[in-house]
Amino acid sequence: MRLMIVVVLWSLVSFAEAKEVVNDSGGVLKVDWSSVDNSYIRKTRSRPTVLQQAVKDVTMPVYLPKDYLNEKDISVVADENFYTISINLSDVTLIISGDRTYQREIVSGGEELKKSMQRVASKFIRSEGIMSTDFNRHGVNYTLSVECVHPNRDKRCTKDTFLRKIYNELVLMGGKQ
Amino acid sequence: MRVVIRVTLLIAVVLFFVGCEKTPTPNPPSSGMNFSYTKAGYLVPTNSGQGRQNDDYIYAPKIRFPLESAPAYVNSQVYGIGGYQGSKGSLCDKRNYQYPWHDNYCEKRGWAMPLCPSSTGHQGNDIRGATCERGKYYAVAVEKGIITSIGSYSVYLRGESGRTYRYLHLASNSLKVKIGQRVERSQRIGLVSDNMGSTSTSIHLHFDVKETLLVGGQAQTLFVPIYTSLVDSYTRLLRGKP
Repeated sequence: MRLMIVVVLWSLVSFAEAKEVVNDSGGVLKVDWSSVDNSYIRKTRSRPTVLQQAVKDVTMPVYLPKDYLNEKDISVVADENFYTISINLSDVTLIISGDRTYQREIVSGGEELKKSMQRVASKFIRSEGIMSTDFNRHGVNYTLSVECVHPNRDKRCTKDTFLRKIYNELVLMGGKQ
Repeated sequence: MRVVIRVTLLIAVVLFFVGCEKTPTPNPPSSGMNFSYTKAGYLVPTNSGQGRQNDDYIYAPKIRFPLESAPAYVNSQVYGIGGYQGSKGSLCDKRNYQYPWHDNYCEKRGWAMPLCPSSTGHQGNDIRGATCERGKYYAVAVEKGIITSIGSYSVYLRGESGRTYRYLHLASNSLKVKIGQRVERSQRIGLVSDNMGSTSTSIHLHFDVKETLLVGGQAQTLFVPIYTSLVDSYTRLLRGKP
C-alpha cells in the first residue's frame, strides 16, 4: 500500500514539474540595438532605394542576402513589426523574413522546451523539400528559406551549402530604431 | 508474500498507465456527418512515430478550417494506404477518406522539431479533401491577414495574430491570391492538388503553423501542434459557423 502511495505521489510530483504555465496574450519583443553594428547605417546608403523605401517603417534590423540585392524579381511585404522579402531566382524562391512579435510566453515549467529550442536554433533543416533555418539575432527572430522547382534534385534544396552561404553573408538593409 | 503482492500491484499500475498512453481512443461521433477523431498525439499507425500526447492546447484558437467545405480528412499521407511507408493499395483507397481523423504532427521525419517527443517529426498536418480529386477543393484563409510569399508549391499567410500559416501543394495555376494581397477570413487561396514543383506528391493540403514562443527570455519561432485547432475549426464548420 505504501509503495503504491509512493508511486502515485511520485507521478503527481512529476506531472506538476512538467506542467507549463502559459501566457497567451503575446506581445512585441525588445530589439537589442546595442548588438547591431553601428556602421550599418552608412553601409545601407549603397543599397537599392526601392528596397530601402519598402522596409523604412520596420522597427527591427532588416537583413538581406548580400548577393541578391539587385535582383529584378523581388517582393517585399512589411509593416512595423515584420518583413518578408521574396527573391525569385532561376527555379528558386529565396525568402527571408523577420518578426518582432511573439504569440505565447511560457511563464514557468518550460525548462525542457527551452533546451529543445536551443538544440535546433540556427540549424539548417530540409522539410517538405524546402531548406530553411530559424535564428535569433538582436533579440528578434528571422527565418531564411529556399524553395526549388526541382526540390529533389536541385542542390540548392538538397544540400545546405547554398543557404548556409547566404546566411553567413546576410547584410543589414535598414531598420528604424 | 506481501512483497509479491506489492510488486504485482505496482506492475499492474504501470501497465495500466502504459496501456492508456499507447492506445488511441476514438472519440464518439460528434455533431454532423458522423465526424470523429482520435486524440491529439496518438499517431496511426502506431509505427508512424510518437506524437505529442496529453497536449490538447489549441495553439491557433478560433481559426477557420483551411478547406472551404466538409467533409475533409486528416490522416497520414506517408503511412496511410498507398503511402510510401503505408500498407499496399491506392492512395485513393476509400479508407483514406473516412473518419476518424488521425493526428500526424510529429509523424516520423528526419528534420528537427523541438516540440516533438523525439525532437524530430512532421511539422504540420496533412488534410485530404472530400474525394481523391485534383483541383476540386479550395483551401481558404484561416484568418484575416496578408499573403507574404508564394513559392512553386507554397503559399504563406501571415495572420493578424502574428502566426504564419503555410499551405503546401496547391495547384499553382489555381491561386486566387498574390504576394502582398490582404485577405479576409475564408477567402479562397487555391485548389488542393499534388503540386511539389516539378515532381508530385499525393493529393492533399499540407498545413502548418509557425508562431513565436518566449521561454525564459529566449524567443524562437517554431512549428506548433495544429491538430486540436483543426478539430475545433472543423467542428464549427460542420455546425455551419466556420
